[in-house]
Amino acid sequence: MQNETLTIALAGNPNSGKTSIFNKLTGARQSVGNYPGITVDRKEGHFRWKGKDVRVIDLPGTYSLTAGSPEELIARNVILEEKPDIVINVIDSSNLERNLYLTMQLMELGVNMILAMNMWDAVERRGLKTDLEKLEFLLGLPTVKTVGSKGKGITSLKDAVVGNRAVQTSSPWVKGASTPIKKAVSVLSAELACVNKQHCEWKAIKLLESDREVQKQEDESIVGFSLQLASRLETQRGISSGMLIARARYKYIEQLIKQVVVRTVSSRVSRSDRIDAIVTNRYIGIPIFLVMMYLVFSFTFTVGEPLMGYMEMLFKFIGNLVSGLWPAGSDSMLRALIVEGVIGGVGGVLVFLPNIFLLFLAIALLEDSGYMARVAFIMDGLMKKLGLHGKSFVPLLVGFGCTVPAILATRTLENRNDRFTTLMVAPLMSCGARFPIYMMIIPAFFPQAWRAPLVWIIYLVGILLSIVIARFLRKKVFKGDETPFVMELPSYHIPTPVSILRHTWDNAGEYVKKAGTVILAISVILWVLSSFPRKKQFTVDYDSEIAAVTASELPAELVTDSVTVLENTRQMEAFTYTVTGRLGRFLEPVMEPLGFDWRVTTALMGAIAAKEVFVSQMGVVFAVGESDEDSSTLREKLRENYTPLQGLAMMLFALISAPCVATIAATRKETESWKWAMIQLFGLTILAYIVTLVVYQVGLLVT
Amino acid sequence: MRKTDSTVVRLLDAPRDTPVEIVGINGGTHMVQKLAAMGLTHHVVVRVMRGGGTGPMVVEVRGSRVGLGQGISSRIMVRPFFSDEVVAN
Repeated sequence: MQNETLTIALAGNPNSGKTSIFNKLTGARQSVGNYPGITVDRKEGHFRWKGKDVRVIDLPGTYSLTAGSPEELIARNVILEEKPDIVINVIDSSNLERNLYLTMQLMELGVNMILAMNMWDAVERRGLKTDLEKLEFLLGLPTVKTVGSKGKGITSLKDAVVGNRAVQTSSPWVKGASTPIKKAVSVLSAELACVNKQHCEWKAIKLLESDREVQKQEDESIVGFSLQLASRLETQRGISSGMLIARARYKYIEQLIKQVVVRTVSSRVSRSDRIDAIVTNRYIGIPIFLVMMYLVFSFTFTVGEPLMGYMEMLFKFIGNLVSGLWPAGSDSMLRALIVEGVIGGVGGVLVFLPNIFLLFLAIALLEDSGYMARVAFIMDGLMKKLGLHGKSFVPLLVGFGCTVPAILATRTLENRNDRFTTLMVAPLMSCGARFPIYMMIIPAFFPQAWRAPLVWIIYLVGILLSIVIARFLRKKVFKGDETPFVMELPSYHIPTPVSILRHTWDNAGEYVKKAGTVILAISVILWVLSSFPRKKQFTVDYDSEIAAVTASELPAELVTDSVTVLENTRQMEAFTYTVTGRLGRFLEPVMEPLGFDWRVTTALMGAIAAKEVFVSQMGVVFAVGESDEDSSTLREKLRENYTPLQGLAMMLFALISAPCVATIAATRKETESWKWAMIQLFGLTILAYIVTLVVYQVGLLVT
Repeated sequence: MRKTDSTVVRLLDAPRDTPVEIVGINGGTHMVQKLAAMGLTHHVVVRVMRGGGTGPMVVEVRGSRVGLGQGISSRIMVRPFFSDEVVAN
């Protein structure tokens, strides 16, 4: 049996160090996928040990195995359907009582199991004398001491796996449960059809817990019978049968622990409690958090800024390199497609990669240390007033950097209604790419003293709108009970560099993948729309004009300036002829009540590719040379053509309207449907239209 | 058992740093199971480490710290627990 492949699954509580055990077991041989239909990551890896190939499935971290959350259901279904040869239950050994609750439920499933007694160093440090031999004997399961973060005990764990030391389990607590429960379980399981006795018992327990998934699979008569038994239990004991069963599990665990753990140190105030006394303090908790976030953003931007410059240079270099493959002055369509469409489009998104990587790095640090759980905690009161969950806060905050990671970060919200509400309003947080737009417009129209307050107002408008929309969505669309806020505040610990980097890389990789697929496709489409049909006959013979200027005896500086103007004028003429250009003109009557002419309209359409494209597109339509947000010629043009009120309208519309392509792609992926991506796209655009219309029209009346 | 209604209060209103025993949870199957998974069951003794005030509260239960929102802590009923008592089954 040398080439036999073993399949093992890792199960455990969140914060039990399961991920570090998984990483230490499999090294770099991992792959991340998705379970169909929901966005729970499916992580798999491999290792080879003593001639055996072992496939490792990392189940989602869960506290129990009910049908109530997608993670728990997935964990359970993988065990039931894929039937791994061995389940390794990773346990935080310093917190046996709560961790063994999941163990009880895994044992009910009758799996072959090994207990990885993780964080064993914390047991010793905290003076919890734990008799492992006794635990093995009482539970009838093999145990292995591990310290995942330091890689300790991994070889013994591998030995236990390939040495097939796993033992088939059964529900140990049932025998010790009170007679009515024991009776109900045995009576019900006798009525069920199943693979073996343990499977019957599991189904009976689940039915008595009113488990919806198991109820669905059984006959109505059986379900009816189980409900009858459950309500009888309830009237006998005055507590729901689900609670009675949970209580019976804990009762068994309590007795087990009494025999296994001897507490030698009784200090209850741990280091974590001392930190919490400060960071969750009612008065200074939020200020501390704001300082942390300030540090995160300044780290992201100060370190990221130069790196972003290098990325820009890199893409420019690649563009030039590819351009060079064609003879100078060639008019190849393929070249334009590759350089402008592909490299320009994907490059435009990838230049943000350093910033995104750094932001994820900082977030991974806060998350792995345990601080992020506290953030959700201290912000819950405030977020609840806004119709959201405490955990919505971090994704929305990330949204001020970039909407794409914000949408990915909504994964931390377990409840679909909370998650979708957060995801739908995330684009209203004014992201970094919208900043150049404000930086171009504000100095063009407004005196120095107004500038900073105006930026604030724009950001504030986004925040206020998100509150209004979130409340509306939560009340009308994503209805349902307010999710109970229950979360563990894990002990703080110092994260290891390896786990931080891996965590960051997993998230940043997601962004790169997106840039390579959806964004690539949409960039090409947008490029085609703004390049075709091509104009052959121009009103002016630009080439000869340029030649004439170049040949003239004007000062060199003036010559280059005139050439740029001529080239840009030609570019604008060509652009007006394209689909986008025509669409701009076509939409002009619709956009006019907002104060936008066709030029602004086309620039806004360009902003769908990426928000900051608005600036360069305005440069194109106004036919000025190199344009960025600091361009004074562009600002002069703006001043000549528009009023400050129109400037304000542009900023508002750019803030609220159509999220960028990357966001649309992220929403599509995270909601697993085009429907929500489209609702977000059109909903926000309509909202932008209404808000801008009101502001502009009222503004016209007032001024 | 000294279980008189006058001493039963909502967890939300329970005093800090005083052991209290959970005697009732008003909620559906889903909520009960979610709470049970975090260790919050009938007859378990918990200790409020940080009061709710305007935000969530923190309780110590079965060796771990759990944050609870106001909505949920107002649906958990507790009574004072005296260490000489034997916890009811």
